Amino acid sequence: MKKTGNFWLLNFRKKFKMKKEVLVFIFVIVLCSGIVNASLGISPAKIEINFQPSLKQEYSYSVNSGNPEQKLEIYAKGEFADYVSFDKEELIGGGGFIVSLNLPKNIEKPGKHAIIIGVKEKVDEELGGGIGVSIAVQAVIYLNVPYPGRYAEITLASNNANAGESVNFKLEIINNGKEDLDLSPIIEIFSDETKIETLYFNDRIVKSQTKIKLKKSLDTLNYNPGEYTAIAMIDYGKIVKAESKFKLGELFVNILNYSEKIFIGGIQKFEIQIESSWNNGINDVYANVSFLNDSKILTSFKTPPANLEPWQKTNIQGFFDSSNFEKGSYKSDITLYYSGETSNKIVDVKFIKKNSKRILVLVLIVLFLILLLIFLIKRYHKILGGFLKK
Amino acid sequence: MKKVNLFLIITVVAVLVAFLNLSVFIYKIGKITGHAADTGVANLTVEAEVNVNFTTDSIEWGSGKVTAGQTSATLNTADNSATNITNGNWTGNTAGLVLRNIGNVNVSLTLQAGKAAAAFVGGTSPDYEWNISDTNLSGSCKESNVALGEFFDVNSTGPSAIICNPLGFDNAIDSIRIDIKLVIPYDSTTGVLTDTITATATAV
Repeated sequence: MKKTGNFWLLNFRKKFKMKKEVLVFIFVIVLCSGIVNASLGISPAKIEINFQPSLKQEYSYSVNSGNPEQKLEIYAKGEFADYVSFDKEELIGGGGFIVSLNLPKNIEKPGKHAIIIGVKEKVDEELGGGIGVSIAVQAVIYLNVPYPGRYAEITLASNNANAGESVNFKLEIINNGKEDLDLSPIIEIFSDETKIETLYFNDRIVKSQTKIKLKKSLDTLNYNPGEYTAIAMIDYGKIVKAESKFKLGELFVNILNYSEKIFIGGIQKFEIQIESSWNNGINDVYANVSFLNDSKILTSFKTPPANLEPWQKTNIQGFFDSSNFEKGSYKSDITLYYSGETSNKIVDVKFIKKNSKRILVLVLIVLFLILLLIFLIKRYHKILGGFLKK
Repeated sequence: MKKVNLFLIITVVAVLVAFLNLSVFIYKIGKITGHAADTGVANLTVEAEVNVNFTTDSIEWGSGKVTAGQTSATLNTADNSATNITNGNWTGNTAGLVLRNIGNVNVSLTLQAGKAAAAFVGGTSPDYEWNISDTNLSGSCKESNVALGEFFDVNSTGPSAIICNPLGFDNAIDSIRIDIKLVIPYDSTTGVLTDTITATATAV
């Protein structure tokens, strides 16, 4: 192969009478579909099992390949890969295979362990040339090894609502210990640091290596709108907690920010940042903006209506003619209209002149300095050149 | 008149037969409550599958050479301009490799090139880089251990560097693009060169 390559190169040099230093090489970059296969899949993607001493179990996997002639290699990876074996090592163009799990009597390391079951395309390096692609897909067998004694994990989920509506909690308790647990779960509701209420669940026995999902509803009739924290707790000699934050909404759109400076002259943009405190969408939110001189309205305009998603923060904008304004500060009355409600803020807005003359002067100064610099460099070169000649 | 009597007899017999049939039916079912209610369970399992697809799986540059007198040529699929190929006469190409998660689970994705620049291209100061980017504005790659949208040496982050974790399966945000940049020196290895980029998708 090497000999052939050198011979070819020699002929090439002779043919094109090329000098060694300007020799150019032909480099073939062809992405060859011969080593490329479109897709690869493995199913089931995930299996979760609890450790049982000396457990023997078989699992069927199916493999889909975009190329019916593709050679596929089956493999296992991970800390506990030695505990699995396959009924076949290779597939062609997809198909099925059986994974045999053969667990030992004891595994010392507790926790959730992953055994990777993978299938990868075998690449034939002799086919084609250039850059090819290959795919490997990996399913996972999760093996839950129980902790000695008592051990549990909990998760808590909640939803936002409007004040007066119900908030639903979902509490999941996973007993990953070797012992059954007798539990009395609770959820405490906090507003900042102040505990508002405690919700109690019935007493439950959660067997070793099982999980339960519990539901509880919170009536918020007596709650103020705002942000709350729910903390779920179980106690089995050790206290385990999980936290979830939720918001109670009110039909209110807050004015967060606005354009503080406006240029005098022509049509100008005025922006208002608003935020919904409502857990549902609010349609057709618009602002009416009036600029005041003392109590006299100089000009006013409306913004186009906007639709707000629950709790959304967004900018709305309107345009007005600022030609009649003079330099200085004006009061601006911003009123938001939405679903029959209004929000209002009176703010100060500065009207300023565009500094176009200042910018022009600055540009002229910079140009002058550049020309001066060029002149000095040329002069310096002449003087330096004279010295060197001497 | 006779005909009328015959019809009357037939009608009476039919009604009697109907009553008899109804009696037998009521006897057989024992008791009629007047309202029947029951529940049925529809049982099915949807299997989760890890499945990825190179929807664009080839980049054709054809064959070419470094321009005489130049030290190297650059081929860059991420460059949409005329400078896609510089100092060489390969055919310009702006199509990067596109990988899509067509399964129904999120996956974590790693990429590995078979060779680094020196082994693949050879010569003085070769370069073999890739640039991984979202093909969707909203972001297919939720998290990544590499800088998305920037070129860096293939395998410079090691074979286990997670490119996407997760790469979602939602049709709107389930694909990434891999652009390739090659710097081919004038004294590069010649002939047909081969390398393979392996994408590994693991269920998460």
